[in-house]
Amino acid sequence: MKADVLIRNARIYDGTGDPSFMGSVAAKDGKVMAVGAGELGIDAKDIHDARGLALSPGFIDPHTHFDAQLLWDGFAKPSLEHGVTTIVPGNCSLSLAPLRKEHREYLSRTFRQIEEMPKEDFEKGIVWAWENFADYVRAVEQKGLGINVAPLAGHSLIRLWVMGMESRERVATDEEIKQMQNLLRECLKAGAAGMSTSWVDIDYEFRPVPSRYADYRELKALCDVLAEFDRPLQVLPEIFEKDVLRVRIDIMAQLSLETGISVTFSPMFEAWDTPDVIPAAMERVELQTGRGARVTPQMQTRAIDIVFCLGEFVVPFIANPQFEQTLRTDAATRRERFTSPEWRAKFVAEFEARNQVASLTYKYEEIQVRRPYLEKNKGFEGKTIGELGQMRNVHPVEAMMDLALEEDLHTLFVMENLSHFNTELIGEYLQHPLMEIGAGDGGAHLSHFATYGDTGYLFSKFVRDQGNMSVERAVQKLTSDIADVWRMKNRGTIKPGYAADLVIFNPDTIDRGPEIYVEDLPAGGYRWTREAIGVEKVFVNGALAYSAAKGYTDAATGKIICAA
Amino acid sequence: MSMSLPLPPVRRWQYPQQGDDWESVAKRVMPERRLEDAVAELKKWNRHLRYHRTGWTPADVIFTEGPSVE
Repeated sequence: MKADVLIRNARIYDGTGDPSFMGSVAAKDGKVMAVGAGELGIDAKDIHDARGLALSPGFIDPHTHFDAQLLWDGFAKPSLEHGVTTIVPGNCSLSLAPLRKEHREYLSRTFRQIEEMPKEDFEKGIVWAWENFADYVRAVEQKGLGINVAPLAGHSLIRLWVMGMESRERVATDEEIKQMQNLLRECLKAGAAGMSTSWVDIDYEFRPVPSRYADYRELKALCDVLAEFDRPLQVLPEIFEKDVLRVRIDIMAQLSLETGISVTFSPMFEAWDTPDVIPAAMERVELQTGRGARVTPQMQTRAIDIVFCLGEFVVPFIANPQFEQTLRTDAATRRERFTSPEWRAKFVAEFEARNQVASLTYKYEEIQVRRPYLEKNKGFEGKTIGELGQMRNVHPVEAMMDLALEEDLHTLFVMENLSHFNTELIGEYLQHPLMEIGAGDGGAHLSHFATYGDTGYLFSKFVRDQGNMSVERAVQKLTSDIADVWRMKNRGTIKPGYAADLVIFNPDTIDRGPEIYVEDLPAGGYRWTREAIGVEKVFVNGALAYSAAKGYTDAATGKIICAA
Repeated sequence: MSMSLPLPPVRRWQYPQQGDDWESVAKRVMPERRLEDAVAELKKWNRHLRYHRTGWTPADVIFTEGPSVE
């Protein structure tokens, strides 16, 4: 029998963690047809020579917010370029369906605020052609999917559909919970890969999102429905406070033990001012796992950097109330306050008093100029506001405001290594058998940081540089381990009958490129992105979707992986 | 699925009841203490709730004892 695709002479890392071997893989009708050492003796229409290169299952990105982007970009660029063949959007209680027409404004504003997406591009890119989940899936599929998608149904949306705006005020009645269960069943039948919830997020009016008004009985009832389909629950818990997080782990474990479902929570950040959080959390996860619970934390590989400008609201300044409030005003008010001696003194005092960005202790004077707007100021790129303040003989915060004013608030600043930058510790955590690699936030925070390339960075930093794990283990962590947590059937391993999602890469060079500024959003807006290094070819369900040499192909073989 | 004996919680805690505020929780969990002192203690034990601008939610975790020494 002739295969569709044959990849020969590859060093195969099959996703199981077993030692790699030289061999070949054949795929037919979207599935792996055969895999073995040496030659397979199979002919194929499309033959690829992977001499000197590695071949693995396609990587899975479990924590993304590509819900909107998929409506104008069925490839979720640049995910495929980094070897990711399956993405999970809809995390943190927020998806774009199911959603009644009258709630679109509320959800849009909340989604954009939390996931930090520009209004104009969001509105231009989305044509609201759905209310139920099935119609959202159709809207995503209609332009052709180049990548596999496992969309979650957001708990906040499920509550909003059943309870309307009262979902932001109270617990649900028994009858409402029954309606939510039926609604979730519909979503799962239509292709939802699970449900997401949040104990943390606030909406655009600074009220808790609807999921935060759910009591345990509602969560349990919805998890009972997830159990009918063997689909997981994703949770965003309080991640910076050790004891609260341990309580949440216990709650998640109770849900898992009572229903049998897999629960995953994200993100987990290493922070030098709260060093005991992760060890305490992992100890609790281990204890609960020993009791039979399936509770899996996620951790991203990259450090937290945030690019911002003073022309928009920025979440990290939430702990500087007057400064934060100013960033919510209109441009004229902001300019007025940044110029007013009285207001400037208030801002300086706030920064001096807390020197804290959100829950991440950060020295404000280390804020750098990331991208000046005016050509004449290009020399300031890379300078800290501490240095600017010295140059101009003003307080660093005033120097930041002055430069921003000079550039009509277009200056881009960056807080680098806000947190999660101790790679020695992070390497140890990523090695932990119960730690899932993810939490990348792909498709969100577009103007603040690039959420792509975490997979390449795993290999460059934690395999090659620090030796925390072998290539085999890194591949397993990015593929079958994630597939197992997310109950993805027949994916994540190179095995006959499994989906032929495959990546050919150079294990000696695979990496992420530097963060770059591109203007490719629907209304011309910009985002930060990264190119991939060392990823040669990517196959989705047995068809070549991307190659480094020739770019994207016309193959639109991506699937909604849980669709009937 | 298997289930062994429940793990003891790391700290005693509870969900808020409808209409709860610092005072009502303090009266419930520390009825023997002077209300002002009990509220102050609760706030110290629950700094994670300090960013809540619109009151508590039914899913919030309220610690009813201080951190354990580990």
